[in-house]
Amino acid sequence: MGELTKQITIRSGACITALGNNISQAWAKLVKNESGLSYDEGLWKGSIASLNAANRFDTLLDYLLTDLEKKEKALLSLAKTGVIISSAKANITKLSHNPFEKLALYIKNRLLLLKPPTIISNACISGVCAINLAGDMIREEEYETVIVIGIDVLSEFVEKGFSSLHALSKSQCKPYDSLRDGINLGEAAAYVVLSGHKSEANNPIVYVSGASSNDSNHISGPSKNGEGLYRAIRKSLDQLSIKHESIDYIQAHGTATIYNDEMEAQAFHRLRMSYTPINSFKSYIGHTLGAAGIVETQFAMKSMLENTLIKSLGYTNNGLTIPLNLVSQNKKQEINTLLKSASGFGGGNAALVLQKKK
Amino acid sequence: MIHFSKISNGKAFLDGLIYFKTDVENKNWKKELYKKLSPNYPKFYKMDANAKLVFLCSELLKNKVSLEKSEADISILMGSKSGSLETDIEFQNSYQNGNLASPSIFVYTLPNIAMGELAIRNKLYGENLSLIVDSIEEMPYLFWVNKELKKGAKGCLCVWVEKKNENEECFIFFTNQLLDAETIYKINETYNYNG
Repeated sequence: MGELTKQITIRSGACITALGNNISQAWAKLVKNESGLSYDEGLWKGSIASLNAANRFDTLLDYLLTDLEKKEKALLSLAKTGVIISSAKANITKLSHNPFEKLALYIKNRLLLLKPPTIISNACISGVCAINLAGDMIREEEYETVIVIGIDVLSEFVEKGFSSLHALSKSQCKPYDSLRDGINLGEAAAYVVLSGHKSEANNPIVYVSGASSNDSNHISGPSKNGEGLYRAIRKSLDQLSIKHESIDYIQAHGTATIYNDEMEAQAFHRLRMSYTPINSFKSYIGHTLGAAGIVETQFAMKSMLENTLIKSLGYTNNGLTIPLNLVSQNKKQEINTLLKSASGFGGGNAALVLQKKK
Repeated sequence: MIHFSKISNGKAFLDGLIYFKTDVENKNWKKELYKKLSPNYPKFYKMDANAKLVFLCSELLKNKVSLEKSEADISILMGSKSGSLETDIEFQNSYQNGNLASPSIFVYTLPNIAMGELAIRNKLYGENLSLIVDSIEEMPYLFWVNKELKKGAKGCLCVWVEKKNENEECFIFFTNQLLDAETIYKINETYNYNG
């Protein structure tokens, strides 16, 4: 426990999703349980209204970096500030060259960084892995501050892919519900700032721990007993001897596919967390892939600060063999300790724990 | 203990020594290497190019390193420049001209899938991290391996895989010892050796 005592704060920066262009706009809709999903060419999607079809990725990245340059000037001027980019598919819209080509160099030059940013592409767990890596970088004194950016956009490529797997829902997705039938795709760009620097010391939330684990089962099918997710959460809790009962709220992945949600239920049951309040944000903004771990952590942090659990939209009737304690309506409740989880293709699972300062 | 394996365009090296060599023009070199390694894993034939490269290179390394019963304790770091680009293009071609998109290609269109196949093959439940970097020199080996070992990992598998057109390579090292400037030098030297 001794080695992990360095305090690392975490706070939200830009948050551009189907719910709006910043966290306040998103929160205003979340508390009204208003979905950002819209119907477009036969599918419900979490699209960002101001983006047009061409150059989606470049435009969204530019929005985000412009905001970041404006708000994080002081941090960016420090030598020990690093940047991590989390993206599953990056600029997949113009595929003839590498969708990650020159991305690191572009961001390094634009933000005047000393070293190129680290790019994580670990499917749908990228965002949670990125926050965990930032925490480790600060603990190991690679950096004092790490800005963690998550970005992925809607594309024909990803839509065709999930469609070929019969994984897209025809309606607004219903995580953990008995009628759930697949995902809605979404897009987002967002960043969080993790820091051990004194200028960030007053932030009210701290990053505690995190881990990842592979299911070692199947590249595109979740394990039946949630082995990888179980292990990732177990490791995250064990690092600081956190007991399962001290988790106030689980902000889970909840994609609304039959198998993912059931796998999560198995893992949470094995962790004795079936009674812990849990929700999914997928029915608000869709599945934002590599950005999901960042955006959903932002929403969960806002929930912590407001001591408000947000209704798990799309959930009406239990559709799991072992029921979970889904948040069925907004609820005021003290949230001191948060568990965020994610699972994805390639058998990856990841988790992290955040805590409000006492 | 630190061990290395590398395969590229018809050659395979184990700890810097040649293990297998065939004509550079031989397009079937991966199948021939598979036969020499004889891992008896028919799923190999269904994998995409990156996953095949990582599979063969890791099977080669297992001549020196036992991954059995290691389970949770082995952490994997993987890096690539092009990621799954060639499979991405293959998938995109599958749905051109009104054809149905291929789900079996789609599931390989992420840079981390080859790492998933490695974990599945060897039942490794440890940490997983997949990075996109411009070259192997940018892989954060020193920082990542040392923090994983300090956190309690029994060993680390560091995988570099890159495929672009006819050029394909995979380089893996396993270490259960902390890295320093000297080991990083040795890693680079072993990676750069081409027989």
